[in-house]
Amino acid sequence: MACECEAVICCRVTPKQKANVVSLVKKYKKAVTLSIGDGANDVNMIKTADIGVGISGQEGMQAVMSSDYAFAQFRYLQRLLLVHGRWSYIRMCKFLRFFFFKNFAFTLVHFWYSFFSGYSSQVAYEDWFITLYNLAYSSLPVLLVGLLDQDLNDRLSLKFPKLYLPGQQGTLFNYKNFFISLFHGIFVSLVIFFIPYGAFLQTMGQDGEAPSDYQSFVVVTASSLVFTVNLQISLDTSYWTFVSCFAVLGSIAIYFGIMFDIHSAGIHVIFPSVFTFTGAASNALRQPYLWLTIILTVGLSLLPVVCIQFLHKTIWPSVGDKVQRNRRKYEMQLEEEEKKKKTSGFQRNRASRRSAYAFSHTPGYANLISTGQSIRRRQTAHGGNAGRRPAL
Amino acid sequence: MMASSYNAKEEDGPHSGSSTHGGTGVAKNKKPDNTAFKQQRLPAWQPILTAGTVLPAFFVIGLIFIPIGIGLYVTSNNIKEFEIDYTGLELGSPCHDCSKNFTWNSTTPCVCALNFTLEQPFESNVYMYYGLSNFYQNHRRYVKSRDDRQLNGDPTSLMSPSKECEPYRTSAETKEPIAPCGAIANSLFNDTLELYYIEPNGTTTAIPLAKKGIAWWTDKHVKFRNPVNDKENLTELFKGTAKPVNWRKPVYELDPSDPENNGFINEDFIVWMRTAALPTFRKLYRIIHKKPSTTSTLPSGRYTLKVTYSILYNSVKAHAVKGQDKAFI
Repeated sequence: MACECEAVICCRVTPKQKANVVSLVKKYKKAVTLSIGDGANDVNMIKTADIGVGISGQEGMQAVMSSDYAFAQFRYLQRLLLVHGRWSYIRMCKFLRFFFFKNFAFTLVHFWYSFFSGYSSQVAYEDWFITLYNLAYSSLPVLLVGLLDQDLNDRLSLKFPKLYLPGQQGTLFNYKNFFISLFHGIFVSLVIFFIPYGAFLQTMGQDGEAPSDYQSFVVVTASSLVFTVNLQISLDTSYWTFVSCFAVLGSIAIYFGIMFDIHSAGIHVIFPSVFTFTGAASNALRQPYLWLTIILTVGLSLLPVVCIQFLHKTIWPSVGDKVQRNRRKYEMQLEEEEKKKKTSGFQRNRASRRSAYAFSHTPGYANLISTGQSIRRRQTAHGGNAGRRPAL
Repeated sequence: MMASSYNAKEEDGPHSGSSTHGGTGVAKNKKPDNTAFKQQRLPAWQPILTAGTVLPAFFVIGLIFIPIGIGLYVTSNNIKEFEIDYTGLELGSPCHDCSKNFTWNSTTPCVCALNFTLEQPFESNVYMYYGLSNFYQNHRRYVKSRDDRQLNGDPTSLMSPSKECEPYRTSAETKEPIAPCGAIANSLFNDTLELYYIEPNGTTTAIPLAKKGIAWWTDKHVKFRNPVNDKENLTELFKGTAKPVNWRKPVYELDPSDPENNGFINEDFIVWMRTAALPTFRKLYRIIHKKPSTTSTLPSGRYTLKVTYSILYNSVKAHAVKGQDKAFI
């Protein structure tokens, strides 16, 4: 029955009972619970809930020390949930989906190649590329997405609490999304393998050299993969800062830098059997049609995905998409509201005056409120009665 | 009054209670910096996929790449290619006897000749390739089976090749190390192809086939080096090593007439050692340089291809491909 109510108030509860209420909700509703408190009696409850928030203030630091998040005022909870919580959920989901996608795209190329290499598990990339792919060539942009991405700024997130729903419903990362990432990875790996395969099948080089050799093939496949993956993350980013541009271009630059170094003559002289791809990059990338192959591969990997995303956003927009589309309109509305607030003079808003002092064993500051010392007196003779109003 | 000290922006709570925190003088301000980075307010561009951006972008991409595609199509149609299959599996083929009766133990090579006619003359440089189908040069064990240090001219590796070359590492009879070791080197393609032009009056002239310039510059000058020693003679340098099992001649006799093309730096050898990506591949065999005058390199007419079968590849189709008349110089 308690679940049918909008809000339930439990009063005169011991700390253990507080924790029991939280675990009851956790067990039977199977929901993610958050509890917030400021005193030592709330520690139990904070620890039982999935997320514990402590208020640092009058009651000491025990609640803060046992909590996951701590801040100083109750009202910051709104910002924690609607802004930071929502951003965090979106970032984590984007990060995970992209990580699965890029690894599927990377690995499944070997699967397709095995059909043409006698099922001998010959790798379709250079060994050093395999080592450095997840480390240096594709990790930085997605890390920055996981740290800095925002689909809407904080003021709009606060204005539309409904945007919080996808997080509660788990719509951005579930089995369906995982399989979509998987199929995306499969599609991209097919493109990345078969287009260079077709290009290398009956090909001649500029000076008649037949570059149908394994090392050139590997260079082309690896380059298209790095381009595709980095451009895909930049298409997935909704918040393009200078840092994220730098990461994307930097990853591509690092890839080419390291590749030309490894394929150079100098390093082969020092370590002949470790770096055996001498001259592969310079010879392969000298041919204009291999660049065209790379461009075709990258284009074919990215454009259908852009098309599908665009159609999805246009035909079935989510709440976030709708707000994003009309972002400017809402931001202007917000600015107008703020201007109105400022020009109407400084009002001491009563709601912000009251704070979460209600739950405490000691008398606390209740007498302040009950004697009306914290409320601005009206000019009428109600001055004495104003203090009778409930504190909340 | 409590009210006046209650400032909405304060994070540490009302100061009248600060005595419990122990800060009598300056209260430690734990406020995070109000910088753009820490408050996540970096200047950013937030693109959205609307019809107004996506559709024009697609049109522009199409407009840029369609002419490129047309250009490429026209260019590639100008390239002339002629393919001759000399595997000789069918009964009527001239090379049938060679393919049927030949093993690699035979000492005398088998020669067969194929006649063909070129309808159109080939201009400019003509490149001659040999191609193999179903030859898995990209099999993992095959690709591993080489010693790059030995091929780079390292004297220690010459005498003790790497373990990757097994079982083509040491000779079974003489227990000497094989130079060059490995399965890739062992399966060297040494069919010889010669091209003859049959003049209208019946005489056959051999067409000069250049064998230099077919390998990558980095391969020939950096990756593959003959072992260097005081002795100049390559025979002396390779003393103590055995030839690969399926070779007729040792490595220092690949091209005795030209010391720049002998030993490990023989260009045919280098081209073969550059493993192919796919089971059907072509490798550059010879180049027919263009004639200084305006005569076409290969005028149209009748030609003969003489093949010296040296190695039998089971279930492999071999074909000679003459190709590439370059439309752009």
